[in-house]
Amino acid sequence: MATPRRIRIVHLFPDLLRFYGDGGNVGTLTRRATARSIEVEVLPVPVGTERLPAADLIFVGGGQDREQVTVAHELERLGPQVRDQVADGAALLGVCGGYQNLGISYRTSLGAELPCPGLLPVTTDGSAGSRRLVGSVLAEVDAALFRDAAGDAGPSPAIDRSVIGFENHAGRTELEPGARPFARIEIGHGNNDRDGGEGVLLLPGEGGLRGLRIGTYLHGPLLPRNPPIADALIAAALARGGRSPELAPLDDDLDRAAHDAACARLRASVRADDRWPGWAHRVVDPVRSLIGY
Amino acid sequence: MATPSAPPPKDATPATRPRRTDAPPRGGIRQPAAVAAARITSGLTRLARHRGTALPGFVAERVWPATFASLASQLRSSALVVGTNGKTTTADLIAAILRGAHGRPIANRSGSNMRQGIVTTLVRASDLRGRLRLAGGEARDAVFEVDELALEQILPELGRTVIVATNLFRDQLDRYGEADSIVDRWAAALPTAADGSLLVYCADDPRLAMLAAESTLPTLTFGLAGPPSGRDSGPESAGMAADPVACRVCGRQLEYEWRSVGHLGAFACPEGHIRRLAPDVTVEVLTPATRADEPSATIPRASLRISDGVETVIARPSLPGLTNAYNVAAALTAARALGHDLASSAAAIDGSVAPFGRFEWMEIEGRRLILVLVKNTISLAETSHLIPLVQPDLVLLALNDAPADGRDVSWIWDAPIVELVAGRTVVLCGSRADDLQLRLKYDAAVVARPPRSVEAAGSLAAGLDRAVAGTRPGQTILAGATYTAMMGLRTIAQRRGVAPPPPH
Repeated sequence: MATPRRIRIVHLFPDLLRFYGDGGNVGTLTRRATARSIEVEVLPVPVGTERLPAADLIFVGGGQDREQVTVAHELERLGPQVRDQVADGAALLGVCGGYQNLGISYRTSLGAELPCPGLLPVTTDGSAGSRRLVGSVLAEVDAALFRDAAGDAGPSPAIDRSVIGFENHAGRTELEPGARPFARIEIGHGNNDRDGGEGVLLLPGEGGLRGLRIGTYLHGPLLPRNPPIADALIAAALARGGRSPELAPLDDDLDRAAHDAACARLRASVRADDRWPGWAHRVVDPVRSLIGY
Repeated sequence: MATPSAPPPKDATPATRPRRTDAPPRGGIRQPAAVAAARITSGLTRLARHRGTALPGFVAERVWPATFASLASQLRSSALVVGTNGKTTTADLIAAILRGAHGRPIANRSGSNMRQGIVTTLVRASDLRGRLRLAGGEARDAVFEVDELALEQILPELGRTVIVATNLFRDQLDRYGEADSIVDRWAAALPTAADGSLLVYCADDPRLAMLAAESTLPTLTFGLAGPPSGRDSGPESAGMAADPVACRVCGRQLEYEWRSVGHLGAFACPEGHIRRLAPDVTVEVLTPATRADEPSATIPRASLRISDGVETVIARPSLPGLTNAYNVAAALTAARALGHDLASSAAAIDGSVAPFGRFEWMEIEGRRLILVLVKNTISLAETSHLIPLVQPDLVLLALNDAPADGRDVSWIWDAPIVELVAGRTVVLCGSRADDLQLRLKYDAAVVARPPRSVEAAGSLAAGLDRAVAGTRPGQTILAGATYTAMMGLRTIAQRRGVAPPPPH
């Protein structure tokens, strides 16, 4: 028997960025890897760390504006080390605040321009829209993610590309020309409430770095509610160093049922809202909130 | 550098006031008209068996915009309770203390804690001339619990008051946004309080301490006498459940000597801008709760030592756990600010039980059902701490995602719930029972003691049925539920004749 496969997950700044079930994301990666007899080592990297440990997957979660300022300054020091690892094939996942912080530029709600490592080809303006973009999201993940995970064999028909989550952000994010959104919005706001894109996806090798990169606003948390994305990240982490990215199927009946029920509930709620035109909502919704129905 | 404001001298003037000599704003005919219109609306909504309370207040203020200011000016004294967790329990305890001293205070229900709901509460306590009714010939006291976002709409017109801030945790981020933005809003609202107002706050909560340091209001604080016993209180004890809190001056993360609940504890800015000050009123948990199986039919009592440095009393409310110790300390401190000594306050809350749905005990087909409101990471984590005290035979978890619950349920993944379910029969229900089931599935693979069984029951009624079927008479069911799920479970229990109707 071959030596056991092993992945190292670096969780960046869990002491600052730990909103929105970030523990659930790391826990899901761990659980889905160990279920396939892949050894997992989770390495929390707190603020003040000088040397980033070697990683196969780097995760950055979400936080408040004030914490994001601290994270930006931490990334001034650690950003080049993250880049080196991703260049060498480590996968990178940034959720919400982490997504914004990993971009090319980020202007906070107070108008401050934060230093950014440019690991994701996006710019975010937190001062642009005063209205927060909040709500449930249903979107379709770009097929390229699974095409790559499946080893150029084309997307497996068994993979459900729908992704669900919850977004809550003031920042408007724009992709650089040519960059590919992680998903297309069916319900929700996405990057900027305008172009229908959600997050950003860079396949291994794109932009000169060998690691898979995903940035997204979706929490909920993202990975337990969308197991195919967790598996794509595990496969990408395994692929670093040439290990076999093959993943045996798991018993996901419960996960799939929960995912499908959430999709159906979301579509039904939108249909219910669509019974009345927009102007009627402007009249009816305040009245409903007043009488509590 | 921000210097925290010094606590007031111990003989500070009580923040009660005699009935005002200056005339309250007069509205002529519109004053009684506003009250009458609101009372008719209120009657109609009750007739329709609708429990909403915003509409009458809305109607009153449409007829006469000064309704709130006028009615509030007729109060003898008032206290406002704001904060994330413990508002309802704290307000209820303050009301119990004031009831002992001055007749029944006016109080709003927890579901009516926005401005219009509070106006409705005042209107319902008024006569048809548009004046607040007196009690025993005297003006009445009022205790309001106030939503985090409503403080700024209530404070400017309320007159002199005691503001009681219990704590500020991240909560329903989809509605409230970041906790830091609530601090900003409260910081802007506090200067609108009338002269003579006083801020009572938890000295262990750094967000509130930083808020108080920026305010010019006199303060009276409460907090733990020292690190909590019976739980891990080390600086790293809170894990993912605690909010990271940065100094508002330099932005650096606070450091902790010990922690109690989430980010509460003995904190200090590494650059010295802010640190925890010794609380004016301290609480120490002597017994978190007598064991549930001792006096079988009665609700266990806590034993709390409360001291203001001069007077030390033992309070014995039927409210278990550390978060309730904070609530009791908040209530006694608020009462002290209103002129009641600790001994009479402690006597007034002796044996006090929780308001409905907040650790409420009821009996259902011979089973003991304990209903606990669980609405965010911290309250879920704290519910786990109740396990040794209540030793439940079955755990029922009800998770809804209506707007009043918070539509985003990510928070269930951040709280440690291993203790809550370890080795137990678990029943899940509510609109997001799926998410709970998934969480438990993922946990089961990595924890030493998974639940004995996990069953998703779907609707709240089915969940309650399954919980009853899964236990024998004499056994205990611990039900943790989000707001609308708690209300729903309670309504079902009430229909079956096992729960008393809610107050009002």
